[in-house]
Amino acid sequence: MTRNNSEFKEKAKTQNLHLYGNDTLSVDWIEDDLYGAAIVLEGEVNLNARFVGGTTEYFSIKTFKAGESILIRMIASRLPDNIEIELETREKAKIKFMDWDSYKDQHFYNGFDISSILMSTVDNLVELVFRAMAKKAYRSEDRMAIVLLEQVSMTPAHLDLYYRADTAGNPEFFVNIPITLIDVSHNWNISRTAISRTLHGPLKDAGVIRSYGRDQRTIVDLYCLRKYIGDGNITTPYV
Amino acid sequence: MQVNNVNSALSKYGNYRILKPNEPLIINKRDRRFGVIYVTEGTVSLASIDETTGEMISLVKHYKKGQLILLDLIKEKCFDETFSLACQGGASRIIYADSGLFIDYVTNGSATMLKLLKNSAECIALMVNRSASRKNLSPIDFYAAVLMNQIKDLRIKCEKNTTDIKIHIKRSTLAAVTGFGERTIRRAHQDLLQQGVIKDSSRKSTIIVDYDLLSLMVADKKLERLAL
Repeated sequence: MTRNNSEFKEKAKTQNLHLYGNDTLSVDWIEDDLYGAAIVLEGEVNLNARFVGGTTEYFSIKTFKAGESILIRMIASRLPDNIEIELETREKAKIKFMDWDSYKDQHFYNGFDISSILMSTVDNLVELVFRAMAKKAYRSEDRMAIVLLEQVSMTPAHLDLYYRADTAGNPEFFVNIPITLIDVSHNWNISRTAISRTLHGPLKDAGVIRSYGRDQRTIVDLYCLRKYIGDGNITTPYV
Repeated sequence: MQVNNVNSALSKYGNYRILKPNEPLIINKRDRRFGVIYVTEGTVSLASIDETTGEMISLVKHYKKGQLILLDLIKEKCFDETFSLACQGGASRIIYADSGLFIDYVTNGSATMLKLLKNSAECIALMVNRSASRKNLSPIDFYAAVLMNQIKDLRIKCEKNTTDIKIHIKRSTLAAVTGFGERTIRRAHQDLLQQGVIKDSSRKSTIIVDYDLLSLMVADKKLERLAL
């Protein structure tokens, strides 16, 4: 059974929210500050993710137990628009929602700047989302597209991330990604040959990758990459 | 009120180390000195390795300047507990310290904060465990894990009054997901058929699974942690 989101939303404003067996709560209204953080009071809550416009399936990311917090607002702000998250429970569970500022004030102020710890917590979870989704992608070019999206979305300081204008003057057009980061995909059983084939193959045909140079840098068309994933091109084994 | 940050907290009782190219720092499961590591310069990559052979099992994550590696908390949740820390590109600089003191200091007794730190470490441990599990899995175990995963993901229920579950999955798809060849998958399929886990299959990629037997197999071999 999937409950109505608006019903949940009303309840969450006034009281702790109960989820019963097999209830799901799609968190597509995360911009609302009320849902800055979700604290699991009883039971277990699964965090799932899916591509909007792609497969209808949600991918299981992590289970949160009683007493643990899900930093919804921060997670959502680190994920691209075309990835939606969902809270789900198989058994009865109780959740308390709080706006972000109240959550921080209530739990953390003790003279210690926790922002870097919070960011690293969220980073780790976001990385898990991308990896879980990449593993589900059937074709290697799809996995590669997710790796690229992950690298762009995480915007790490060491990534030589720069933009240059296209002919239309769009300022956010290209990004350079070193091959060392793409090597992370070895964890997903993609060989180097497959990576090269993928780099020069379907993703290039789709316009996602503009070029791949001897300096081991891949030039990605950010707009095309987001469109490729958002348009539901990603195929998973279970379709 | 004075606001402290991770760097100043660690500087109190931490030690510095420079990581040079091609000189990875190997941290085994018994070494508690590197309980918590803070990257102050450059980028380092954390990899899980086989303790006996030194072979890399998986590249876990790149940590950039300003990021914290909660290694002791990660180890608590890991099946493989030996790690290597290597710099990416030029030399990197880290501060390392015993995690007990650091965690007491930053959490200031807050249970919420401690849980948040543990959660962060658990995410990394999940990455390590999932990669390691995939690496050492036989075709038949992998096949069973994929079947269970599909049942859970799609929330497929048993046929009425039986423990049978009908799944649609192509052999070519199984091969692509597991990384094994189609012939290997066919052999694994036959093995599962003999064991009674798969009760029947058709050419139209329909597989009928005995859910009880599959659950037993998954629990027995701890395949649920694979989370494909």
